[in-house]
Amino acid sequence: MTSIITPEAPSASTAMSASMLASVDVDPKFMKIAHDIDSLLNQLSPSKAVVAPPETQVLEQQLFDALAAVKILTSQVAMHLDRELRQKFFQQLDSLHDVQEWEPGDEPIREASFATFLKAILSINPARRPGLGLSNTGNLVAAWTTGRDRLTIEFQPNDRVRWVLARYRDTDEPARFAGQTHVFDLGEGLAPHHPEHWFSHEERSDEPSQ
Amino acid sequence: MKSAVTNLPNDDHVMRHVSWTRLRKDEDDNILGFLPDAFQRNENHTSLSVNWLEYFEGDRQNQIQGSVRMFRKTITVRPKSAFGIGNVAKIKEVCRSNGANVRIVYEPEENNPSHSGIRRLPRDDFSLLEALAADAFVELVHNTAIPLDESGE
Amino acid sequence: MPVDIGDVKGHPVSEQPYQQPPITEAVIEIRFSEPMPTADLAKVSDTFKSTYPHEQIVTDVSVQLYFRHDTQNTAQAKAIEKRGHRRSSPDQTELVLLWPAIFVVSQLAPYPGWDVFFARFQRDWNTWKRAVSYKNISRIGVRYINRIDIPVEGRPVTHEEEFLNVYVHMPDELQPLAAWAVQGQLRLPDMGCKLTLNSSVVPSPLLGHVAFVLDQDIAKDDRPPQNDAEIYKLLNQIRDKKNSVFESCITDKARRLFKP
Repeated sequence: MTSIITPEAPSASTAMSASMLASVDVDPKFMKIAHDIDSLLNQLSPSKAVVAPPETQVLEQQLFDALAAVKILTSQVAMHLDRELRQKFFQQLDSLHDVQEWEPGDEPIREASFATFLKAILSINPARRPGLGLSNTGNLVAAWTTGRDRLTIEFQPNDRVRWVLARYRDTDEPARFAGQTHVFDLGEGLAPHHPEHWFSHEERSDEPSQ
Repeated sequence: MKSAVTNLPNDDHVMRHVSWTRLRKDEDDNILGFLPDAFQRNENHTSLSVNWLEYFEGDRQNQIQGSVRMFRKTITVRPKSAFGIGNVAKIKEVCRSNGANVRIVYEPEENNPSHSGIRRLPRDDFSLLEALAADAFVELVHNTAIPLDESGE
Repeated sequence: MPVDIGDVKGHPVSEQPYQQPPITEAVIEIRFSEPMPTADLAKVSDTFKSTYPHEQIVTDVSVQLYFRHDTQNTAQAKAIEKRGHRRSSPDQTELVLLWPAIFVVSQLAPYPGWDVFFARFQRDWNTWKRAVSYKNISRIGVRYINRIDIPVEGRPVTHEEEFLNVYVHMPDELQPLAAWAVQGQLRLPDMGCKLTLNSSVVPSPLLGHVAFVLDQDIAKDDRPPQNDAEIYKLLNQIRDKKNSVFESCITDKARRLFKP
């Protein structure tokens, strides 16, 4: 008799199959083979351990799980991200998912949308952080506002972004431009519209309404 | 009580409840206005829900208070949420200039007699929704600015 | 040589040679001979509440297949589900993972340095011991996962040998590779440990970059130490070894990416 084990073990290193085999009647030489095979398996690290589906859908846990997923995702690029910037983004994300402010039926942030956001932020590296919001489907929406001029970007899964900007020159009629691209092309799409108008601190002149 | 009408008058106004996640903020979470997503209608709805402001009696402030309290009675209104107010004619004009011929109609509901809807609003036109957020719903009322009434609403 | 650098914002960090270490996750794991009951595990998890306020239930499903050569065409499958508790700091960079027979302390990036990480392990190990009676340790392991992000900078092909000393060697006519993965295991007789080294191409989370992973797992499962002094001594030996293994696996060109 022999046995082969196919685990998705979440432990840090070698799998548990050899010890599990110990609980059944197995020839020791197969134990040794199983142990050696197990030790070569690529194991999931603790950060990638599979979160068990909740037995009941508690809102707090749902929001926490969504936040935890995007914070763990952030850790994957933390070596490229300024520590203070990271903390500020986390404050904004925590605020967005404040259980006291959560509306029934809203979708918490989607991990795949946040992955697109991280790629964009690390690529365009704006001096000014955006304000953050969520779409009806849980996509992250970033908003830069300079006076009346607005730049809004929705980060979608699969590295897609859609953006719209409005600039008010001398009239009440704004020039409005919109686009939908791969995140890789975002900078190129915004370039003709001088995005530094929103991304730099120098041009900022807006006053919050509260 | 005012009588029901089909189309709301052009001079009148509608109010939309906007949750914290759909508010436009700066990087320090100061509220600046609305995100386009605040005006995306629900996938299962044929119109975007609003309250008809002039349904309520009294001066402008009384109408705003009445509408906000009606929202509090009929839907979940969280502390940091806000309300956008737009003029009917302006909403139609903004939509028209973005290629959408909307109707703004009175749709009273049993628990909300001021309920109205913006019909024929494209659901996923980001540019149009942004125009509504920026140029049509130009007045913002913080939920916290409206005191609770005697019933706690 | 390692230098005391601090980080850009002046947060305390222990000595480490790079300003931007490519470590995505560092793990210390203690494994025991016998699992503890599920109810006891929940109580142990509660003792970590003050340092790790958030808890998630995690699951590990494995499948055992039995093939009997003495009967015809018979195979049996048995699914085994284990549940554990993952506790985390609010920013999710510090984790403890509690399984019925495994205690894990994990640090995600940004990596604060060994001294800080090791001190946290000692604190949490003490918490664990206070909550759990003596259990025989069957294995002690340390795992470091590094991801090296390399800017493409217009190059059609990135040559891994410019950055890594561990990679797949292929004939010229079979170049370039779209993806590769290698794995090696070797004994470390001076420590009585085993090193499992994985390296592969992975999608980079950055635009315009390719990424390679260097994942090393050094473990002792042959008569691992049972008392704290010996455990700590072993862990520090492993730490030195993993540093030298890492340095031997990368080139100077890679080092420059981490801002020495």
